[in-house]
Amino acid sequence: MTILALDGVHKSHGRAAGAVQVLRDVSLDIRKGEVCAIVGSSGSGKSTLLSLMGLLDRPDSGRLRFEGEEVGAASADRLAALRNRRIGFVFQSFHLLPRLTALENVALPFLYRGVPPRLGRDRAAAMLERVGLADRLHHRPEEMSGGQRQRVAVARAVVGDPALLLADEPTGNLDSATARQIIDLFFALNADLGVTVALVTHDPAIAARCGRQLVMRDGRLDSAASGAVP
Amino acid sequence: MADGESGGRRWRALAADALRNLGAMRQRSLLALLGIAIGTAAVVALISIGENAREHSMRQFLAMGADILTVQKDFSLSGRPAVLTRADVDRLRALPGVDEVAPLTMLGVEIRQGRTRLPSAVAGVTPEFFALVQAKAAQGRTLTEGDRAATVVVLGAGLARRLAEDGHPPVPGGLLRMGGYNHTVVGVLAGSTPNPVLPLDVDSTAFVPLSGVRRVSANSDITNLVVRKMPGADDRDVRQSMTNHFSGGAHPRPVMVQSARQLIVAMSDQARVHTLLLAAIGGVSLIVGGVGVMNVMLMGVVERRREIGLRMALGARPIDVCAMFLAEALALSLSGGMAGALLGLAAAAVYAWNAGWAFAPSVPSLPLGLGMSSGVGLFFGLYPAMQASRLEPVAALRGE
Repeated sequence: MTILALDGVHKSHGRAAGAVQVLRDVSLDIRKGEVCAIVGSSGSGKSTLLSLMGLLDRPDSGRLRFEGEEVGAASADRLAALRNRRIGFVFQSFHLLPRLTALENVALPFLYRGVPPRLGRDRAAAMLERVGLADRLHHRPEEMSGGQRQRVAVARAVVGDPALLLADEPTGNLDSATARQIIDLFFALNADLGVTVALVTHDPAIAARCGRQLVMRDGRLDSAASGAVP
Repeated sequence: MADGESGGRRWRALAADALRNLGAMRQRSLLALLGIAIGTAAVVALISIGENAREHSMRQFLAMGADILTVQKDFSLSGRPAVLTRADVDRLRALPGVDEVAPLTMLGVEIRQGRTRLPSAVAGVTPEFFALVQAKAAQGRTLTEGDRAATVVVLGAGLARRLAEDGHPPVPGGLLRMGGYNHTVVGVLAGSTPNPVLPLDVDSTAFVPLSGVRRVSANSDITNLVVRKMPGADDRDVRQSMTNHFSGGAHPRPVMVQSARQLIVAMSDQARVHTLLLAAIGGVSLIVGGVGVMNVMLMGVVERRREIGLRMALGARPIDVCAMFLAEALALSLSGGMAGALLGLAAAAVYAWNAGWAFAPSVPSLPLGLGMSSGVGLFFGLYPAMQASRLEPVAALRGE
């Protein structure tokens, strides 16, 4: 089953004359349950592709379908609702709110869902336990290591039970041992929760572990190089 | 939306979030809060002071005689019969609700004491006048029926003080020259505050018997009547029957009948204008405080772009982001407003105590102050909040 489909998507940054074509005619399907790596050199359009997949941005042209729904022209509120309920994000620089504890950070998505705070905190605590941070619930980000912070971020991304987990170079700021643990966590969550994972990475070793690789080259999807790893 | 029923909970959670955010920017929030607090304090204090001042003068005025009415002749041509006569005094006294009537002739005369020459107001009065305006003698006595034909004078306290400036304070038994006659001083009145209802300032007037006015002036027509109504009588009825007395008959006479009520209305109108003016001044400082709030919020929007982007990625709708910043601005200005309201009341109390007034906290000033501060917060918070909600998630996440 296809969770996300891009069809002839174009995207450029900047205005009119100075606009830079970032994505050219990209078409791809992400199937439910797969773990998919997006690779390519800097400036090849990986991050822009991920933003489109995460409904953070809209394509200039082409079709973008999320779980069968045409979302290229959906309202900002509809996109926000989909991001809130169906998509989880993990960023290279964690993006935790420094003044909130790990628990509060993880419970943040529930704030925009109208979930009672107590219930939200309970679910956040359970998810922090799941990622191995049961003893760090009330620590603030500054009191935690990079690996722990990224675990908090992963917990926040999946606490709302999303269909799609997107990660933009999630291990870029981590040492290799910690990076391996985070990637292990992605695979474990994929296996346990059935969440579909798409992650941008520079690391060939990580890409090699993923069931499928999407290779970006100059704003185009290199279909020859892309595909399932045997 | 499926979570429609939890809308209230959602807003409560958003408000709690806003308070936490403010706590994180403690120092800057505190500065903006201070601006709002000072603005609100100014509004509350100025309104309270204005109101207390009004109450004070009103109380003073009521104590002096809200039961007094006056009749003043509008104009009279020489050669025509006098507008106000002794007969009027008796006729008015007979009207229902009228307690006492005192006729009055107002003049300006030069008083001489030794070498001192002092132009002064002189009033010809009957003995009842002093009781009617509650004027008491500090030295000597006031005028009596026996003074009708005597060449005597009673001095107001302020006038006596001015006459004393040459080193010879007038005392009972002394002589003053007015209009070519030596008048014997029989009394000096105790000092009093001016009563706005009366056509004269008791303090700075020399009083001679009404029948003795002829000695100091060619025109001895009665110029005013001072009337005291019965304690229970409605001043409007009394005023009406007095007006009827003068406008009725074959020759309606041009007179003006004034009651304390009219003056009170005029005074409170004036006081209201003052209060409004003071509130406007306070409002200006509140607006300055609002600009401070806007500054803090705009800085916050710039500094927290990544946070805004993240919240959007986590599912915050534009309106959620807008509400978050509005709630923060509102929380800032409301807490500033509360602090300011207390501060303002305290300032008004100190002012009242200093001026020797009875302090009563102005009831409308509190909701007004709080309402204005939160209004200012919302108004000045709206622009930054809109700015925040219009950010594109991707750009905001990158911190651009």
